[in-house]
Amino acid sequence: MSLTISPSLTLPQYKEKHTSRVSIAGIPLYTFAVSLASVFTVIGIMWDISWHTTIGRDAFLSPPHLLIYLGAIFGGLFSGIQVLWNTFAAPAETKKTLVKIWGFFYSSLGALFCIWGAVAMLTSAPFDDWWHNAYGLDVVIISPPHSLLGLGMLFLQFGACVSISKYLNKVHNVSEDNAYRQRQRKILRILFVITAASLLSMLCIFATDYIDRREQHTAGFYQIATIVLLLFLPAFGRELRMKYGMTIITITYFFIIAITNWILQLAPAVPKLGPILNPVTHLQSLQFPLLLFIPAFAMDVVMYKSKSNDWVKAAMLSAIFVLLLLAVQYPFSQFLFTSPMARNWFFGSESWYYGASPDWQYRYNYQPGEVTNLPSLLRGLGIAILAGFFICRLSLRWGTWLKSIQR
Amino acid sequence: MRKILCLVIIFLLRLQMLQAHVGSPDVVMQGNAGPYKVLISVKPPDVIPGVANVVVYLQGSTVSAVTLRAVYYRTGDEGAPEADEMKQVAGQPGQYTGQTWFMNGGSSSVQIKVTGSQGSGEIIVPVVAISTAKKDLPPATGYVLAALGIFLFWLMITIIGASVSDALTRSGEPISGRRKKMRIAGTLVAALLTSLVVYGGNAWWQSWANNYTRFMYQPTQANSSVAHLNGINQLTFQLDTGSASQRKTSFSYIVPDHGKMMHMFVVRIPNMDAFAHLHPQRVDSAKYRTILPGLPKGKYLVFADVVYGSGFTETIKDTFDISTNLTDSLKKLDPDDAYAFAIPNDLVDNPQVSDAENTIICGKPGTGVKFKDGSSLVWQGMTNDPLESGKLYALSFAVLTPDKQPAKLDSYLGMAGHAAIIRNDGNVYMHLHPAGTLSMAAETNFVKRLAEPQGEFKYADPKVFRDSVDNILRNLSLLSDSARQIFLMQQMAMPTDSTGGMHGMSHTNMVEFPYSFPSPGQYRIWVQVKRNGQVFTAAFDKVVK
Repeated sequence: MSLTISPSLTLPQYKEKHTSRVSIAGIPLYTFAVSLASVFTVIGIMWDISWHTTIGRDAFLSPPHLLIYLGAIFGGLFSGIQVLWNTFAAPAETKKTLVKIWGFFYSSLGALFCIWGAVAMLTSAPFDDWWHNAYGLDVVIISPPHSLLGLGMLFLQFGACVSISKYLNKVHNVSEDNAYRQRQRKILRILFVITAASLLSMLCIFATDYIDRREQHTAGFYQIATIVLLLFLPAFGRELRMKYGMTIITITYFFIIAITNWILQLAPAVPKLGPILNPVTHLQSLQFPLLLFIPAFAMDVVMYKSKSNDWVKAAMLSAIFVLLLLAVQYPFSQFLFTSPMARNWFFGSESWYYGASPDWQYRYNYQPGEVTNLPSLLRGLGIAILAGFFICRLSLRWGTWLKSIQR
Repeated sequence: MRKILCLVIIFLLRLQMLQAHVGSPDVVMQGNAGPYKVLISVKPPDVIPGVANVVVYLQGSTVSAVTLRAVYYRTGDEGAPEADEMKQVAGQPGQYTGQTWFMNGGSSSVQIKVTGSQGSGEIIVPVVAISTAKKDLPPATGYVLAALGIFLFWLMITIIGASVSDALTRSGEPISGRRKKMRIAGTLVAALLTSLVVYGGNAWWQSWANNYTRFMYQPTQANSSVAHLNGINQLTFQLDTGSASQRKTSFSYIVPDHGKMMHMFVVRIPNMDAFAHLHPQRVDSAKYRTILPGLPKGKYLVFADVVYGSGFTETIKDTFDISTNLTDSLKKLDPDDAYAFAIPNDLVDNPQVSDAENTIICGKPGTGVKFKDGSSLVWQGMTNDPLESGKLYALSFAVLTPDKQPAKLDSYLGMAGHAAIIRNDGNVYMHLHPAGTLSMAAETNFVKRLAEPQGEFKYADPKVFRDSVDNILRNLSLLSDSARQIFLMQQMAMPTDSTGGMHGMSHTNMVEFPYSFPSPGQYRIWVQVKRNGQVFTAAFDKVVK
């Protein structure tokens, strides 16, 4: 990989040749920055949740917050600078390759998503501050200001996907296929996989309350997981144009969550707030990642082999996803939830909030209502497949749109 | 006019209902952390989870460290986090500040540990952790959020519009007419969808606010009724056990505070002139009764203080009417009950006083309040200048014999004296002890709790608990007055110093109350002391700015 600093002896010469100041292997540094921002934010949010679960005491400049802000700054600042440069310094030819908004500014589409995300994240700060004053300090993941923050993060990550897509589409659309292009494609695919997997991780984290291991014997889990995940996964797979694109993205998701969990648990930490019912000594992990790569692999095979139209593909993908998710997660979640074998560093099932009683009778047992009976489960799965069909069809269309992004 | 004023006061009282301590949530405590004498001020958060601000004033000692931490009754010592060091205030020797977090509602406390050349010592300050505030968005924050919200809305619909038009057009090519139409359509659809998201978000916010309101502290309600039976004026105080009552299942766990199940202060509105400090007896878990003294007719405010076994304290408020002037019953339900009728000290005309024996004239600087036995109670350092709200004062009073010599005090309910501070609109009330604003029973229970085996606290069967409390009270009533006072002081683990006179086993002629007036207004300060087996009540008026 070569780092190229574009010569800028004279501004006109520079403007004629480049649309971005710095690039790596011909790929603007900006795309690397937003991809990195995506990873920062998801690791930051995992660390923050672990911090709240273990230490409890929050501060504006706590280490997890700094990582999240770093993600916002990376994504937002690089995007903002890009817009300003393109508007005020880019040559007319370059502007023709960009989106013009409000009759004045020029930007890539992805950068606009990233800016929206960064501003939403910034907006959530005073909102959350007031929220704490009005309704108390954080004890839940999903509150209106946190949702705005989460939405900002998701937009930042999605903007990164869109930004990378622009260049990925370009690489695929040019006729020449030399070693340089192949290297570009490889780098862009890696960036896209990392960013898409970060987004998927973020979705799963925000849906934790509904897709936690103790929920996985209910129909609700399959419905929520299907709606949330199928909205993005087929689109990403289509954009990636790889035989096992969805599998690779979901494996990357798995490792983002798993590695972060494994590292977090190594850090010594004690609760700084009371009441303490569970005196933990190390950072508590989040839940073990879903084994999404198994249904994703089957979905990839279908996508690759099927010559049907998108409606049929959507039906097949939805059914495969729901049924394989059931086949995998139903027993695996039971293992995670109830088996003493899962209470270790690898699976992290013994992780428990410092303020919750460790002796709670349902800590490792299903409560009444947490296991759906078979007829209800079957009915719920049917609803999940039906919802998944429409969501999947939308996602495939979305994937086509991603493949069409030019600017 | 008077009726209207009464109604206005009652209306204002309703507005202030969401406070366990009426209008005066800060906790002030004076005591000993081992060998160190300390004065502690705790400003609890009005929203839980929240942060309490704590100030410690060390009285005449040099120490190396002062730490604090929040300890919940439910989880005890083991369930409390490690302590945080407090910061010494620059230029204020002996003054330390710090913060501690109250994450759950209920009975909590702040444990202060002082370490110095004389070793280390601890003191625990009971604090009620409750959400009492409903806050509106400040205008400045509102404008900033609105501006950012409009920007985000505008940018969002722009992005969606661009997503289906410009972004799909090949680089270098002009935007086609079809794409431009798509942009408009996309923008409109995005505007509609984003509006729906904003609408949904607002509804969610509202539901969150409603849910918060549902779990806010709701004071226990009560119904007071007066009946005249065989020459006895009986007041029945019935606690509300309805569905809205948050603590109805806890009434059986009410414990005596310095030997009384309930400390009730009644004061006539709107003039705040007739006053009584009564100690109703428990009839059943939710019903209390007492005998009213010779109070004049009128409308009365009731402030009834109770302490639950967990150390949670609450003031229950109500009103009642007395239709005709009462004559003092020959029978008293409790020997420690006392009452008085106070006349402002600036009245020019000699008022008609029906009960001259129990009438006092509010104290003036220097001369104080003269009692019927000729002795007087003087507010030390009192001037005509107003006091400042939010400032911590040591309200110090001296009792003098008719010949101006120190008059030694008896122990009144285990201490040198009691005070009740009431703002003239009834929105601020505090029952004060020499140790501060806290309940002595709450402190005692916390000290016991910290010494108990750890783990989550398990409550006893309510009936068994209630019966055990009744037995203690029955035994207490059989003791002589002096034996009872000694027992109460021992129960409260009072130090046996004989010099301070504030809360020692042996009292001097002085009584001192640490207090910070929470808000400006006209206050009446009622001070009660006991001499020669008789309770005396004094009153002082004070403006607070």
